Amino acid sequence: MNGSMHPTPPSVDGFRNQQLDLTALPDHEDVVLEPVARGYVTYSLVLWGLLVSLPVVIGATVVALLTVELPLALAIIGAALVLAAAMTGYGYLDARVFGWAIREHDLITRAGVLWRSTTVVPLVRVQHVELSSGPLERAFGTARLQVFTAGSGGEDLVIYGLEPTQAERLRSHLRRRIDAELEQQVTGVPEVRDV
Amino acid sequence: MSSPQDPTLPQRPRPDLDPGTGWVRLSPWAALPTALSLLKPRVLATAAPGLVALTVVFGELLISGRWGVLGAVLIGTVVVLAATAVWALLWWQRFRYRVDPDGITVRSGILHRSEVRLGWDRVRNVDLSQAFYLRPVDRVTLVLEGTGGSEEVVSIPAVTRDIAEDVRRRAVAVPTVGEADPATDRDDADPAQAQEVMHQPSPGALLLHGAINGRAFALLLAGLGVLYSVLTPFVDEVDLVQDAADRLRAPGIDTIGGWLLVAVPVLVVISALLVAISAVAALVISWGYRLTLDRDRYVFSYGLVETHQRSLRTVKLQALTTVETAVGRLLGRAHVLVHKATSSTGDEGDEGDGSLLVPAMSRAEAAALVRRLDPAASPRPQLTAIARAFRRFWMQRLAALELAVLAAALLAAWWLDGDDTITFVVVAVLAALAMVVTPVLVAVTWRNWGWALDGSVLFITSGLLGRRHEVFRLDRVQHVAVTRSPYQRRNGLADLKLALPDGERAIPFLDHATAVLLADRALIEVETAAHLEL
Repeated sequence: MNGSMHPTPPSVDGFRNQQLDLTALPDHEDVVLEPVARGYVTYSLVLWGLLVSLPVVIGATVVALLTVELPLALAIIGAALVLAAAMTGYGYLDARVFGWAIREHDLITRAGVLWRSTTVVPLVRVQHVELSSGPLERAFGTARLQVFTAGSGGEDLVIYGLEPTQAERLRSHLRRRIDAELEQQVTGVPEVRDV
Repeated sequence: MSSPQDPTLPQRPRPDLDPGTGWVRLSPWAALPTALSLLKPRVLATAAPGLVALTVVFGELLISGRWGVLGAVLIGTVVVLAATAVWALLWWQRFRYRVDPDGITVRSGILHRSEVRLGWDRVRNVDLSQAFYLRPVDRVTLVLEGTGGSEEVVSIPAVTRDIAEDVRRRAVAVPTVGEADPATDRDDADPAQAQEVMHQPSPGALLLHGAINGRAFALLLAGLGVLYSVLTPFVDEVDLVQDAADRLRAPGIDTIGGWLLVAVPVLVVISALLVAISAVAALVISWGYRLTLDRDRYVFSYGLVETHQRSLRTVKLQALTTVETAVGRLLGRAHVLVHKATSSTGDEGDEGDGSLLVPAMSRAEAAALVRRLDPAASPRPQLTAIARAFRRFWMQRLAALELAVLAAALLAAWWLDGDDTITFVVVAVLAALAMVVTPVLVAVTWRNWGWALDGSVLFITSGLLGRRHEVFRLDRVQHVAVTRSPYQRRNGLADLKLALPDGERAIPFLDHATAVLLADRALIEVETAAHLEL
């Protein structure tokens, strides 16, 4: 990490212990995020527009036409169409808002249309990573990477909408970091980091 | 119990050993704790009542007459017990374990079979417990927790104490991955440093702890709820209930005063009974409670019916919580939760999330214990309040909700204009009362929220009538999250969530810049820290 420091006297034998300026610590909010792959936006539109919204519209249409008078049925169908449009729009925005970044020491995602959440997982805490993709994701050429740390029930962070080669590269990088961390724990050789 | 090439184990004939494989079968005694664990309350509260209810319905259809209900319940109980026994026996029959020089392997499962391999260098904690029914045969349940969390937990019931102690010796003699020096765990460590008692409450203190923490209330209420839902369809047939109702309608108690004369003593007696049950339950569960520091390990020993000995390496302590319940605050009593990385081995000694309970102490004793468990966590600094917008946000939304309920209830009462009116009037009155009370509760909750960062130690306090004081080092954090609702984005606020190995801690309604600064500070602490012990 490259936090700026106050000026201090020269170090003795290379040892330094300078006071940190808290306001100048690296800010995870400043990171420029990578967007999801183009295919993921289409995937999200198909998921929300067809697989989620369409059954709602069809169900509402069938129930309305069979049970109520035509004007009311048309109103119900109209409401279902508006709901479907809203859900499809949500799916599009959800994909567009999502972003991720990898820094030297951590992995960052930002997600959420209404409730926006920025999650940061330090790489030293990563226990294992999983690369997965459902049939629909594969059809649109995207994959997702799940990152796990100790103690938590599920994944700590998920990066959606990665291109397969990009996902594999990222997974390899994280694997190397995990192996290096394990090696350091076993040998007891401390890792030197700039702070 | 081990592979043939292991020279340290006795080489006597083993009837439980599968020839040539090193796999060991469990004693048939193991089926008993397995069956009982299946019948534990949480299982009873879900699967068993459903089965009983189904049997009751079918029984009632098949058997007419008043005795039918009793007979059907009996049939249901027998079905549940028989199914449990068969399941436990099948589980016992499939269970195998093997102890090797470098670790232990367990094969288990009936429908889904699994094999868990746990190297000695991945064992985080070793717990032994002994149920009362296994005491005559001196068999114990051995639980080994790996560093990989709940996926790496090995539980072996009803093994002999010799085997359990042997496994424990092997596990603690090997350093866990990343540990500095395991020398203090070995049997040749200096015995003069052993066994320092840190907390040993009296039986009276345990009774008081049980009385003011009242875990029996929830259990009993859940039990009554389940019983009520099962028996409601048949209540009309029971003369006893009708008889009691007739008596209550007798002259003398048909006025409000008469009802109060009956209801108040009944409520007092039931409440006293619940408190007594809770107190006795705490005494039985925590009987002979003792927290000791054994070299570099905290050892928690407790239990009357089922004795437990659980241990936690001092470096693996993740966080501490001091809990003061509402009644506990009045009496100056508290308890401390010692958090370790989450596992699935929750029992009576923890709070269901893997934390270890240190019960029955005064507020000052709790503060002193926290100081001893983590010297960096003391003294507790001056806390900073969360944003005032917390009050405004919740007051406005709760008031809107209550107003909507009030309006709907009044409209319904006016619309119906009949016998059902009284129900909606009562709802309206309750909603009006809530509109008066909730602003006070929200204000108190806001006032009790507070946080402070002292060096790399974060303090968080929260609560309504009681208090929870959380304290942990930032280098324990697994990930951080800053979340913002639309309201918070408009007002420059954010919630900060810090995931620890035992679960999440959150501070709501922080100034956004402060939340980001705290998150970044946590990341710096984690990313520059030495390896984290889990």
